[in-house]
Amino acid sequence: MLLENVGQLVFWLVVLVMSLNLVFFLFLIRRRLSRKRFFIQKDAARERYRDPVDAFALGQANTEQSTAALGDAKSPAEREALAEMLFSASNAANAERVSELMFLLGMVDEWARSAFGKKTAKVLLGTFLGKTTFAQTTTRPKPLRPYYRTRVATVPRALAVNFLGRLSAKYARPFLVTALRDPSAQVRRVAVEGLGRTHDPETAPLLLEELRRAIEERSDLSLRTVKTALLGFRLEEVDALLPGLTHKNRRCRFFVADSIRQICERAAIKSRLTKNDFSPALYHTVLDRCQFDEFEDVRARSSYIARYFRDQNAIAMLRHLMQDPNEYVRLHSVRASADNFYADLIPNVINRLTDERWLVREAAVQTLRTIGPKGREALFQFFIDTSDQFAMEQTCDEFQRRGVIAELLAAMAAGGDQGLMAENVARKMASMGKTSLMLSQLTSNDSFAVQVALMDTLAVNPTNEFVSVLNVLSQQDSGQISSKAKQVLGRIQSGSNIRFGSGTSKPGSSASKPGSGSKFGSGTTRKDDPSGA
Amino acid sequence: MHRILLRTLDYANLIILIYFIVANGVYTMLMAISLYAVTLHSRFAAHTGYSDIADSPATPPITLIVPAFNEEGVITTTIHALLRLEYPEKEIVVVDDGSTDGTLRRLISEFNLKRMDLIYRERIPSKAPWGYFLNPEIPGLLVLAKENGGKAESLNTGLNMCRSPFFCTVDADSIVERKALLRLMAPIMHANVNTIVSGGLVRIANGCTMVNGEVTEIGLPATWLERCQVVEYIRTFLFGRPAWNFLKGNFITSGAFCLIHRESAILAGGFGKDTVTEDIDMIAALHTFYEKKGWVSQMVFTTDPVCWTECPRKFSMLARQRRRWQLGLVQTAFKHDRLIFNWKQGRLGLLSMPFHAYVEAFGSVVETLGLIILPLSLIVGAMPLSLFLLIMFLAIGYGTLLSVISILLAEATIRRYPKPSDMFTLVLYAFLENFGYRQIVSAIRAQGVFQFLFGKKRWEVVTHKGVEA
Repeated sequence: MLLENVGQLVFWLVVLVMSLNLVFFLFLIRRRLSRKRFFIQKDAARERYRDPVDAFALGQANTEQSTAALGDAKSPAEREALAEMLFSASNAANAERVSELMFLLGMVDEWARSAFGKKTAKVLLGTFLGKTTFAQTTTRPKPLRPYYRTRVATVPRALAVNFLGRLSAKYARPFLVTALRDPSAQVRRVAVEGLGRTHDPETAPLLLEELRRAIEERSDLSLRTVKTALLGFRLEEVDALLPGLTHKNRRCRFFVADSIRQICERAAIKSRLTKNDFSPALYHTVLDRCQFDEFEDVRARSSYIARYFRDQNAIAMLRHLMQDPNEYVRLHSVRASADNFYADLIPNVINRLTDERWLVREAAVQTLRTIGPKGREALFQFFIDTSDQFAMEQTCDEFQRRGVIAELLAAMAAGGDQGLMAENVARKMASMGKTSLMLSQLTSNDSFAVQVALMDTLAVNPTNEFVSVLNVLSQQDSGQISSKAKQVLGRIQSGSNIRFGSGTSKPGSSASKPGSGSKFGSGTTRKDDPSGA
Repeated sequence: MHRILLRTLDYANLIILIYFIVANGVYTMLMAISLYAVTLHSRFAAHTGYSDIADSPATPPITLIVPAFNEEGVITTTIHALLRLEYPEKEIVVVDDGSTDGTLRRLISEFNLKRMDLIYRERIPSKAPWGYFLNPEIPGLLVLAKENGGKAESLNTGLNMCRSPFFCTVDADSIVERKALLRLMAPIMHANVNTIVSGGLVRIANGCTMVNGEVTEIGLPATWLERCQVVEYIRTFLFGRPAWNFLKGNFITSGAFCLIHRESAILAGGFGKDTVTEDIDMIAALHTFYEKKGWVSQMVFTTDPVCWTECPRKFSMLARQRRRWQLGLVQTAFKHDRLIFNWKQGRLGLLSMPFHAYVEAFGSVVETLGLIILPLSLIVGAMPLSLFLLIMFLAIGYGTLLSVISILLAEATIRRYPKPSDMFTLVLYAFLENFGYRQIVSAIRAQGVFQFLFGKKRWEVVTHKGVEA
């Protein structure tokens, strides 16, 4: 009896499962077909509206004419295609017109209703007609807020706000400001992104307030989202963020300083910035307040802003920050000095080559390399003279990674004072066992002068690999190379060529074997600064 | 004697029945959650771009660590694809783990790399590289050559050379889609909680058309073994993991394509060498570390970053791969058993870990036992033929249902199979895989469990031909 019941139960379960299989399979087919129809319609709409949209974008048709031409887009596929086309045709010059057209086509109304509901949408749309103001807008009723936070209710609103955030600043502002009060974090995030995209100076205080909330109140918006929005501002609008640099919360000051730094970096790609590109208020805030801020991260980031001032005050500020007790301030001020203008700071940067923290040493090497010929020369001279192991290794690392070795070889081949300096640098590297790259150049470089210079240099610290290469070269047909190789081999065997004592390894010693690394070689482990970057 | 046998079979059938109900109950819950989460996420993702992340200087740099052992056939294709990835700031560190084929040679010649003597700062114990290869004209690519020490050690070596705040592990036989890194970083950028792991979708590349390391046409492979694996991957990645992510119970993230916070990984001790699935071990180690410290963090999984990988074409290779995965899962479950039923871990400790440990890790043994016990019950008369057939139909029907819903979820994602014929083939294989494939895979997984019980710990190497080849 019991078994029969089990059998019946299982039977009905089988029927249920098989029916569900069929239902989902049919749904799968239906979805495919409906999507296919949707995209056919969308493609047709793209084709149909291409000319009117192009004409509007080029200014050949006015808003009224375009509204009449595009007003027949009714289906979701057509509306979506049209919205995409208009947004991609939008640029800084015609953004206002495109937004106005979308407003007249009813798209803004549609998105506003989807994002805020009929009532609030009506109030917000009224702001454009001068009937209402933002302050009158409503928020979601408290008891329904948990529902509005669910994904199923959030996604349509977030999508609508995303579209509204792509309108011009004038049209987007009321909607984005209202969306900042949405119960869902996803909608608020999209609104913040929209505010960044519109980079409207009037909304900057709102973004700074969002930043404060993200820092102080554990808001459900991420700091990175708010910072990305702040980065949407341009250099000419950056004064709108100035209150953030003097905010009482130190992390707010840091995020704003870092954002301004990155805005400057972006602007500097297009043109060479000077202090004239900044307002006096910002200039003095950086020099007089940020430089002496109690929070080291603010001091560190402000050094990057100051570098774009390119004046004596900036030099003084960077020089001061390079002596800072905090390693990150030193690191960033050294990095900020990587510009030809700051050649006066070369002695200060040289001092940082022996900094106790490897990140600062690395930054100093990179800065000197990029500061121009003077910086590079100073770096070479320092490298030849120094006995600081860590500084030497850091310099070697940079020389290899950035292709300086090729430049050194070219200078060696050219001769003269530069050639002599290059030869000394190369010899010192060889004495440290950093020979892999030079060895590969010896076998691959076509220049006889370079090959001869390299043979002499590598003979300073002859490794097994070098001796093997010499043996191969000495058996080559080319008379000059083979005789030079034989000559160097002879010197190595007699042991007469070794100039640098401590770091050398003789052929056959463990330090010269591949895999073991030399005393200063690839396997060296640095434990002076385990905290990393 | 016969009565004792019948009684024993009754008890065994009861255990199998309980397992069947528990496992399928959880699967049903996961299925419902995935349908909700994946469709809504896909709808939003389809309408929003990633330009904000791509253009923002606030986007953190990433180092892609690619451990490679005897990957001569695929390595250059993989690296070319990685170099083309759309991401503001990235570095690729390839770690050649003492390959005995021409992996290193191919890398050197393809990218004109030069050997250098660079600084190695060891923060996690691992063998230091004997060679560093770099081309100053491609500063974003660094190749390290070290003695063979296993995948975990290679990853640790790469981690020691990593400078960015996040690193992404990528298998040498995998192809990462152009925008995948941006998509993987998106949840980290948008989270208000410290997000330490972000995992993406891994899909099978067999049958797809690839040009210069990029999937240009999505298609299905030709053989039944590969097609069954396609269905299996879709099921695993589209209804298991999104649901656990929704429940905040992420435990498994594929090491083939996974973004991890560097400092957290280092503080958690790096990749463990005592399991054969270093990726799961790392996730568990991070959960444990953060719990001990009392720090708040989260791990996320999203379905839009896609990485394509080659699945085994031969049965012997499939068996090796699945045995290793199962062995690794059991090893990790035992190693991190404090996570199981740990209320401090929330849903991970109370739901996800027990499910993975008891159903996913040891379930294969029960399933394999069922394959023997049920027919035996029929033979000795402990179960009528009608009930036996109904149970079989139910198991097959339910298995098919899970797979069909997964295919539906795949339809909702951006990179679905475009041809209608491929969709029908997938549905057909969702049904056919229940006749042989699933049973064989269960038996192989059970073998992995027994390997663990008998103290065997061996990395079984799976060789690849290369999809483009």
